[in-house]
Amino acid sequence: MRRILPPLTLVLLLAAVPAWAQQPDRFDHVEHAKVFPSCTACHAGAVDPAAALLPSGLGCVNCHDGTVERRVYWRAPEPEANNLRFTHDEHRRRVASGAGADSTLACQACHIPTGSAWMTVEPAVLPQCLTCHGVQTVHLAAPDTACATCHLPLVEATALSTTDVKAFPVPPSHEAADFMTGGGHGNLANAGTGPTTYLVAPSCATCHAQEFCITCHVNAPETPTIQALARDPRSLAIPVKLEEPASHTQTGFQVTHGKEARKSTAACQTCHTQESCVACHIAPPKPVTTLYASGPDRGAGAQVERSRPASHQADFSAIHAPVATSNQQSCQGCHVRPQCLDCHRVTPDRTPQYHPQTFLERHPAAAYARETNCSDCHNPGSFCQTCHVQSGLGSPQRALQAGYHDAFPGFLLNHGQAARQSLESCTSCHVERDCLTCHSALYGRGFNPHGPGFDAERLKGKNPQMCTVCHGRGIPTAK
Amino acid sequence: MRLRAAALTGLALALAAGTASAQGYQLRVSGGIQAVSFRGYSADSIRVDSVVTGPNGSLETPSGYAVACTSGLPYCNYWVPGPIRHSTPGMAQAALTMWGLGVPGLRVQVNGYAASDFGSEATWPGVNPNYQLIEGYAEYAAPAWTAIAGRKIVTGRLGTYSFDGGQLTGRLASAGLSVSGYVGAGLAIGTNLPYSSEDLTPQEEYLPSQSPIVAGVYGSWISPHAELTAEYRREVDQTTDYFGSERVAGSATLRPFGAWSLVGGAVYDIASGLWGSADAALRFATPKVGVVAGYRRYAPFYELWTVWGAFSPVPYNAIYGSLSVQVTKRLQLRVRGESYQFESADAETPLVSIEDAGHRVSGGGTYQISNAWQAQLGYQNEFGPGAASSGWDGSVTFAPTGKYSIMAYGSSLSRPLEYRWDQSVVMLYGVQASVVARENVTVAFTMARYDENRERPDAASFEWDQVRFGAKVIMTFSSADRLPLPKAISNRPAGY
Repeated sequence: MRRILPPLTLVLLLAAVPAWAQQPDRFDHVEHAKVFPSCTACHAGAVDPAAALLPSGLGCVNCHDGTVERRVYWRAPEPEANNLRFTHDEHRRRVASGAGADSTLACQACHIPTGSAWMTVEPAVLPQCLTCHGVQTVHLAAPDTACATCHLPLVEATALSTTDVKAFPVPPSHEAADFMTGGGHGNLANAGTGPTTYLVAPSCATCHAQEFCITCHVNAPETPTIQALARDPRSLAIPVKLEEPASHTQTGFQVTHGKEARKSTAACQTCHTQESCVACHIAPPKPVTTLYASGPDRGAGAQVERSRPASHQADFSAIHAPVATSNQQSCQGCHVRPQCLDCHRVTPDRTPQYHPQTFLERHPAAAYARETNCSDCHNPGSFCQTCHVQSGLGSPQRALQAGYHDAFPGFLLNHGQAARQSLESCTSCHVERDCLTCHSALYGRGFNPHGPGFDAERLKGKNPQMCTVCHGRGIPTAK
Repeated sequence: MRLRAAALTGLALALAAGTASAQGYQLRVSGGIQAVSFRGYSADSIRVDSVVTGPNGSLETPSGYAVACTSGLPYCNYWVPGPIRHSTPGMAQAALTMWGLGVPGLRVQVNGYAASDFGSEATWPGVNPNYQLIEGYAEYAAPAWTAIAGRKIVTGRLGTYSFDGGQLTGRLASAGLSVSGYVGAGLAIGTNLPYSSEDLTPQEEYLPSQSPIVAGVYGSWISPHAELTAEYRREVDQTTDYFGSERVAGSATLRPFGAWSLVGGAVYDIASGLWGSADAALRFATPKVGVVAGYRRYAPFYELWTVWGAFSPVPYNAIYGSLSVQVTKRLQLRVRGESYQFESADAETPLVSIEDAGHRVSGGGTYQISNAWQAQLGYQNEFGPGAASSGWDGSVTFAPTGKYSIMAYGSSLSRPLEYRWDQSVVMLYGVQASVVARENVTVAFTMARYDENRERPDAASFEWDQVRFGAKVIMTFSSADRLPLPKAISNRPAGY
């Protein structure tokens, strides 16, 4: 490496010297303050449209001849691309027509800061431009109509490259917290203030064109403000990103967004196409039809990906009932009906779903003291008894046959507590007539089955037929 | 019945025509078959004078089966191990949702299945009748109201209920209010069958000869921090005009702060004048920690065309709690416990001691070994009146992509009964796998071996084993190119 560096440095220097030698000298106005008493001597174009605004540099040799002063190489710089509407001739004529032909507005009014020495020139002293034009704010905070006084709309500023557009300064209004909401930039764009009514604020058109708005706006074709802008692909040089509104990040938004959408689909239309909705909604609800389908000249809008709502944590299946029953439309956004029925209406396909793998083996413990309500999903007759009968546990004709409950020899005579605690388990093998063998007042042994909380009068009022099973037509009354 | 058949046929024809013209649909078709065995008991009897006294002083048959004799009867009863019954149920199910039928807001839902048991030794529950319509209805939804006609299942605190009829729902979205009413012919609880179906009464239990008229109202109010619901449902026997049931329920979910919620509700049985099931739970849920502490009351419910309610079943009251913690990015631990106590049964049982309280505890963990490997281990213990159980379960899953997974699992279970000498000990080990064969086709199968030991102190003790097999294909067809649906319940295994 050490052997390479010296020759490499020499080569670079040799290459740089010719380039450096060709660089024109700078012209320093202040250094020449005592030489030039007039601006138009060099800048004749400021008063004569036919003349060049910048000198050719040939006059420099009058002094810089190599004897009096060192020889210089100066040439007029290439004019910088800009979006100014301004020309000296037009400006002069307008001043003359407005302020009078005898107006004494001189070059220094725009090019030398007030109070500064002669020849301390600047391309343009912006505060002085604004003051003259009656603008009371800083440059980038000027009212929207004021921009067009000096600046061309982007689409007419053809000299600007995409790099120039990308380098546009950001006005302070764009930094406001609510600028990206409809009430922010939307209101500003709609504000046709000033002497003329505009479809879109000229301040917007100064930097932006339709393509920029379409980056986000799905409703661009239906928005007059956006349509009032001309098309110019250079406007895409200004980066913009569709941001999620604060409301969308609030807890429960996934659940409640339908309500908001029904209230005002116009708000949704700005950023969402129908495709946003059908990313999740299987069968789109009606508000979706009011949104625009994606298409040409329309922004792609928000890209929606289906995700689990925050409420759907690991144990959500255990507590989903109140939410699901109170707001089924919300569930239907992501879930199809068969998913609910997979658990809520069992089929012969009894593969492990709601219950774990070994539940069939351990179900007696869960069923005796109802871990959950079995009969909410299983019919005691067609489900429980069908299996139990085939397993030899059916009770008909064996009601008084002792033996199955053999852990307690006297179980038959002492089953009352067990029966009242686990009656649903009893009925998975036994039928009514098993029990009525003893408990019927008509043809049984007359053992009273009624226990705590039994309100005979109330039940008789609702369905006396139930009473007649044991009491016949002579249903006793509480009185 | 003819009317019902005609309605169903008409609906089927309308659906067939609708499918052809519908602009949007989603159809899930699944088919599966299982091979399962089960074994119970057979009752037998022996003359009293043939009974012998066993080594421990109990009465037995000469072959060693414990007998129970009733004083005064000439014979004694006993139970021997029953035959092994093989069952091979197969089922094909179709669930269709259609929209875009020319009327915005109109949608049709159909869900039904055909099933049969290909074995000859047993009848698998649910295969009779062979064709069953779970749901089939047309729905028209406008922003402020929804109308439904057909077979519908309604769910809520009053339970899942099927009916053939209509439902009308009105909504005031700006206020979060919704009110729904329905009326129709009720189907038997937990089934897709009318009460007149013979398949509901394998032991010829009495049921109404006609479907009851069911009517209900459901109201709800939702807001970002609360949900309140109220339900009312009544069933009326068409032949007698007497009530089959009349109940009302209320539920509330309150979310005062982000991670906290209070969920609860209760059922009141207007017909019997008794409170039904109820619960209340305080929940704290964050992505890393979930805590639940609650109370619940379980009370059985019987319709009034049975006499079971007259036997005064008693409720139990329980307190429970659970905790789940995401200890690390890979490890999650969870534990749950419940303790319950039956209310007084007001029944004298001087000769036997019956449990009137119980508990359930379970715990476990899941460890994500890598993106492809996951291990799970759990333990559960349950003790209460009638039966108890305890056991371990564990599994290792390999799922390198979302397209296929294979899981090996095993568990042990001990299940003693309270009223009968019977302690079943089961060892289970098996594999299950699922493959997304194509974008809309999933194939799953499972195979497991069950080793069961029925331990008893007499000759009725037996050991047996079986291999269970299942295979299933799920196909989804849709008019739209969409992502697969998220699982409704996350802890369900895929396919099987």
